[in-house]
Amino acid sequence: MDDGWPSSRPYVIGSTLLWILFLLAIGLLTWGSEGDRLPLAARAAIALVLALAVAGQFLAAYRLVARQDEYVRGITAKRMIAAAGVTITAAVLAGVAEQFLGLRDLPMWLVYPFYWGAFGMVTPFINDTRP
Amino acid sequence: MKSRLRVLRAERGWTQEQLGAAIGVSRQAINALEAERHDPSLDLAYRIAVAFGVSVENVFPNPHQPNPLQEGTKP
Repeated sequence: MDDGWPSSRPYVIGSTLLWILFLLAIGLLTWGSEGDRLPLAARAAIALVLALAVAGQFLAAYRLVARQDEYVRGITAKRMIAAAGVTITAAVLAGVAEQFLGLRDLPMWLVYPFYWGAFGMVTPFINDTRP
Repeated sequence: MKSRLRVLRAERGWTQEQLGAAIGVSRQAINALEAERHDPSLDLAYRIAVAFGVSVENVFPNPHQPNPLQEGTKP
């Protein structure tokens, strides 16, 4: 059951590789979009890889949490809900500000690192599974 | 939920890690139970009781007392 939570070695290695892939894809897309250095099909393929890296990270986190005991599952669920709440609230605010208040466009992919940042920020405050 | 977990564990000289390993949960889970930050599932409560060789209510006293009004209406 306990495979070293919260620092399971396979999870840390997998997450690190997926984050490197994500950042590499962002870098490649940024570089390739300037002056059409990369053809559209190549950029679309990189975008798909980027999205799969995000999905892979959540799948890895889900699998890791599913193997933990009821207490760890409970607090992690609460932390993820809180982080999702913070992220969606910020995304909606940014979206409305862009559309109606003239805020400059923010890249939507920022939602992903923002979510994990929010997860890290709420974690110290949520250590109770009770309502 | 109040429990006698810390007392029972101390009586046997077990660490949180040892108890957690015996019943298949993390040290964090034992710590949360002792600090009343987690109410155990029925399954976990039974596993803990078995580890100590006592009944569940000896570890987790039932906080729900019978309603005296209902008691009076029983045949």
